[in-house]
Amino acid sequence: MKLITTVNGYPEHQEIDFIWSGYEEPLHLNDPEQRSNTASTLQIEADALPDAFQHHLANARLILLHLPAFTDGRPYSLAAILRQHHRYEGEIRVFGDVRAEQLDHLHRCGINSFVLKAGEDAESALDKIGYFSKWYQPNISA
Amino acid sequence: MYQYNQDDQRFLQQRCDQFREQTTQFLAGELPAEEFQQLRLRNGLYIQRLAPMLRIAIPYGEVSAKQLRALAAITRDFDKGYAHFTTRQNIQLNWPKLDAMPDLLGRLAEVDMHAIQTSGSCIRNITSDQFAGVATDEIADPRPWAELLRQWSTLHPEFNWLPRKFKIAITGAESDRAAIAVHDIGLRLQSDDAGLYFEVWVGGGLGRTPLIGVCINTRLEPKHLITYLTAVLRVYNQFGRRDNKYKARIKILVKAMGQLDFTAAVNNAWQTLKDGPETISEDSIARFAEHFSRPNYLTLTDQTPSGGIITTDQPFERWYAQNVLAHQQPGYAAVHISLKRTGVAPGDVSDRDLEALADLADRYSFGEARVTHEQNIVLADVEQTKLPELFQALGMHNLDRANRGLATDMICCPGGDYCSLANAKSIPVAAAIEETFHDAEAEHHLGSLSINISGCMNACGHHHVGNIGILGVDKKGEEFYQLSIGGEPGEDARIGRILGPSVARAEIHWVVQRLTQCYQQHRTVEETFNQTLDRVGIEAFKSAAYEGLTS
Ligand code: HEM
Ligand code: SF4
Repeated sequence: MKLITTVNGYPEHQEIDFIWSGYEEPLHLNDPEQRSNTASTLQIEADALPDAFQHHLANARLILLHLPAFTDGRPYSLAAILRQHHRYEGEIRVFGDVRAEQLDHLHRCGINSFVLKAGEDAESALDKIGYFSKWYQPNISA
Repeated sequence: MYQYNQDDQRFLQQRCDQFREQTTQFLAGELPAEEFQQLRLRNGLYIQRLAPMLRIAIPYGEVSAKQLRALAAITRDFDKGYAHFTTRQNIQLNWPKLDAMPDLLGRLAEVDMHAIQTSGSCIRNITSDQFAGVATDEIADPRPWAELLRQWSTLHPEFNWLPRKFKIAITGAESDRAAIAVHDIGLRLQSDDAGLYFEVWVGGGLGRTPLIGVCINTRLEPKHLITYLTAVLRVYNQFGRRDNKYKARIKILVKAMGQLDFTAAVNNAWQTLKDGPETISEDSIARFAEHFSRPNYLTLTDQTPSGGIITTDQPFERWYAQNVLAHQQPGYAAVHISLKRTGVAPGDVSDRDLEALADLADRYSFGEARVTHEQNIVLADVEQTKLPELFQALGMHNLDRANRGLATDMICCPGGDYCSLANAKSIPVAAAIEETFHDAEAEHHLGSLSINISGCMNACGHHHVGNIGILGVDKKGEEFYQLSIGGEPGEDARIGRILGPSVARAEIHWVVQRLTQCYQQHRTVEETFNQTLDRVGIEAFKSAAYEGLTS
């Protein structure tokens, strides 16, 4: 599990290879020639269609998952789908409107790395994970 | 009923502690208001017209005598000594204070009660048939499944931030008393030669866009219930609209995608989950069922007022005929207690009422009571020979009205007296109608009739599915009411049709009366309001309703 704090809540510059939003085709940020044989970093927007990026997961080493608003439930389902349906085992790093109160549920959906929104207290944030000694659902593990 | 174990209790305690910390942080200015709002909503707390409003869950309507007493004490200690039963088998307090909320939730937790997910865009209280486990037309008891769903939906990590609220109702009887067709998901337990199964209905709802749900699975094996519902919720969570809250319910998604494509998307999502770890084992559902085993019934035989029950008077016989229902166990009856009383807002109870109900539940019904979606109470397990005694006791508390299913048994939302979303008041309308149909003789002669009142198009009073539906509208700052007729909840659910121009508050009860007169004039023996309407057509009712109106 990783906790990352930044000034503006956005991940520091990453070598992002693709960004998926609701469109079928990803936005390529690197040389498309290389994309199939190197490990890549994908950025997935909340409105991405899970089937669209599935062929790129085999090479993915890091997925940046965008939480546009703390009230937006879509990334939770996307994380669950990545783990349960696509069997993706690498790092899923959530960024955006990530607040301390959200960490536990995000974690339970299989997200294992968090870029906290600016101004959130990092120390208390980690305490939120595992606050409850019991859950009524199995957790999705990373 | 379901008994909490230590883990359940610790969980609830931790939830209270968590909310206490959040409230403290908020009051200290350390938690942004827009974030605290969402957190408090998920603990049942709204901010209303005059004060906060707390909605407390009564899961599938089952409540113990002990819990009723605790609720009574809470209304005294934290509120003004009364509370309101809602159409979703919840109970609401109208005047709690924000800073007292953590203590209040702590008091609820002491009796295994909570307000978790009674508001907010998440899975709400699971509702069911108030006669579960005792109804003579029951195929299977829905309560073990309802409790299973309550637990599964509680703080579900994936579904706490849905596009909009999500309501699940479940029934296990021939006759649908849980209105499953107007829920986001409606579940119907059925059985055939191969055993029990669920019919899964999706996309029903009232509000701005009233819709009857569609059946997307005609035979779901019960062991797949959780994985299948996860698939439905997953599709909704991903694709439900988030740009417009009036178009965010699952009903809009189902309609936009079409039943076939929606069903295909669910099946696709389900393939990953089916037979996975959340498949329900025989053992696990059996453990839930143990909590709902039959109480220690005596071996008795059936009695009636004409044979066996000592009848004292005529009022008793009328009450018996109207409010007493058949039971699976010989010698027992289910008793409907009306909360539609002269001078009291529909569904409202005082602390004394709650305590009286608790005592009667202890004395006559194994210490349990049920809340109905029509905002009444049921004692489900009463010995038939004790009915006269119970009737007398109810009379002492003004709880003996024999009006189950009659005109004065109205469903009514809190409306403009409490609710900040209201266009118009609804409680005074209910009071005027109550006065109009006050005469018990005439009301009985009129027979079964549902009148449902909502103060705005959010439809908390289910006006779309009332035989007569009344909806508050705002006409240049004045309270007006739009009428619809022909609505029906239950297995033949349908949405009422708008009658015509809206009418002023002062005239609404007259219009309702004229509609009932029109029905009485045209009906043949045994015909219901809707049957008469279907036969003679809406025009006859229209002209009767608007005859001689001033506005
Ligand atoms: C006083 C505070 C209340 C507020 C602010 C409130 C708010 C709302 C809103 C906004 C809707 C529309 C939801 C939609 O269409 O997406 C709604 C629907 C509904 N509410 Fe309420 N409500 C309140 C009280 C109640 C009460 C007291 C009851 C029960 C008597 C109730 C039961 C319902 C039901 C059954 C629906 C309808 C149907 C549906 O969800 O499709 N609510 N409420
Ligand atoms: S129907 Fe409207 S007025 Fe009535 S409680 Fe619901 S939101 Fe309020």
